[in-house]
Amino acid sequence: MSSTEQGTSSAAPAEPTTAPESAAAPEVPESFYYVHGKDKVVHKVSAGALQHSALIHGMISNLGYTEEQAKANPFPFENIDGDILQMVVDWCNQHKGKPTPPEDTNLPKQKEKLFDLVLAVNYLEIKELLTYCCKQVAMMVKGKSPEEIREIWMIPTDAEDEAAEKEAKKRAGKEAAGETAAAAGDAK
Amino acid sequence: MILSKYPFVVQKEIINTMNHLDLLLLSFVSKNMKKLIMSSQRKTSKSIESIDYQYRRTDGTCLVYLLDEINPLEEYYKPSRTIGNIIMRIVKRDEDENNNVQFNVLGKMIDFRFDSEYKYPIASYREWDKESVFQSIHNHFLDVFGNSIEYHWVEQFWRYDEDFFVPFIPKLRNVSFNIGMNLDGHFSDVRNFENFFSSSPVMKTITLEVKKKMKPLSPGSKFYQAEYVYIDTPRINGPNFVRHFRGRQIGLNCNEYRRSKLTDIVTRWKSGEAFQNLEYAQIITRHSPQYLLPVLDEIGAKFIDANRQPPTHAVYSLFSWGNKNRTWPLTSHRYIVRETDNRVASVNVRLGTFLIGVWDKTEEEFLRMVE
Repeated sequence: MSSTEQGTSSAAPAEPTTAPESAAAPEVPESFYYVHGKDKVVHKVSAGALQHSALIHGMISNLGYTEEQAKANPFPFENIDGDILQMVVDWCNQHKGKPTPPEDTNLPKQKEKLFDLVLAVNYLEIKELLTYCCKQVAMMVKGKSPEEIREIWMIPTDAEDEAAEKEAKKRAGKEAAGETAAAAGDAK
Repeated sequence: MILSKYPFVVQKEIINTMNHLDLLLLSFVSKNMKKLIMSSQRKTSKSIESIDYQYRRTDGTCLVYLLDEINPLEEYYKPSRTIGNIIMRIVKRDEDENNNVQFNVLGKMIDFRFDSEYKYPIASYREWDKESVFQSIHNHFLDVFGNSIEYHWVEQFWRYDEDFFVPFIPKLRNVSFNIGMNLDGHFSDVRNFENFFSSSPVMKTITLEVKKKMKPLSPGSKFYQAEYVYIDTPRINGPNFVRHFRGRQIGLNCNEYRRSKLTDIVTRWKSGEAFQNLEYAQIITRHSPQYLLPVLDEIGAKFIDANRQPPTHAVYSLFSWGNKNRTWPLTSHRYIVRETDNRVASVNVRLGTFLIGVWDKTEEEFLRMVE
């Protein structure tokens, strides 16, 4: 678990209660980084836990921040809801330095939460968690009829898809025409 | 949850984690869903061994099985197709049914039923539209699961006596047909038999039950292009349906097979005149098996030193209803050599059975395998 603190990104976060360290703790002190979501709640996460995220791992590699610098420059993920980021941070902490199990039963069961979690995990490029989440999404339609699948995943009918496509083409046509007119205006 | 709001890579990842039956059901939801599945096809079809249509001619019902790596083809007598492998049932339409839903399957509206009793969809057809329903469904499978997997058509209950039974062979792309025929009544007239094959695609496996004496087939008959042929005729002498065989494996279980016919088969193989594709032949005679041993001398079989252990020949066979089983292991100290390419075939006689197992080895290579 990570600790959180309501407030702005500049607020000093509390000490983290990370996953229990193994008996053979590394001699080199672990470095920590700070992230926050839409709600500005700052999470302190170890570099080891953040390795799950290819995006963050890429950002912190060779950054060479001191503790103070890291605290002063939390990574903002404004497109991720606070509770979702909390879930992601918790997962990264729980699976820090461990082989990931074939199943993960702790994922949210509510459709909307799972939807947001999938988007966040995909953005943060956490491959294993994305696989679990996608399995969970796939399980929602297991053994369902096509009509039930349509309802659960809100899949448009062919007619609706065609209408939407027509509409999009029309819009694109209008925009192109608008751009042409604007370009002609500029030329004058 | 709106699936389409996920980025494309995530949608594909979801597709990749779905099982084959759920994917099939998703493919009926909309054209866009089918396109999405097709874009992930290589990954989804990777684990599929084959899709098998098991057609039951007694009531026109067809069970469609999807065999994957989780349920691989098994050894002899173990059923390869189980209820758990079924992905669709295609039945003759019961006019009283009113709980059907229609799906557009490649431009054709087909009735489906989703019954809580079964986890798979049940498609139905009317007799006049039967072939076209099978074609649309099959083309849909090709789209969803791809054409790199094997598709088999297997007949069921063809042994039931019914003099005028003609196998139902729908025109389906990329399908291997495994059919069985009772050569009684209609098909005991060799002209009908020939006509049937000339108007059908080349068969993968043909199993025949011959109950009446028949005239020989013409050497150019499409019958001989089948890869696997098994002829069961325990009450009468074997018909001369072996001589022009051009496939890989042939089995014959007959009352009696003339010695001269048997030596003729071997002589023609040895000279390279016929049976170029032969991998395995098994000829069982119920009567006069005593002449089989002298045949080994007549055909000029060579010997491997009795103190040395010859290699065992066994190949996968589709004799049994399209189920892939291994042939009887053939371990023999006698072998013959083909003149044209120096290829070796192990030959043996066992319990009234004459066996030929062709190796993909020259004599030199073969002898190196002898311990």
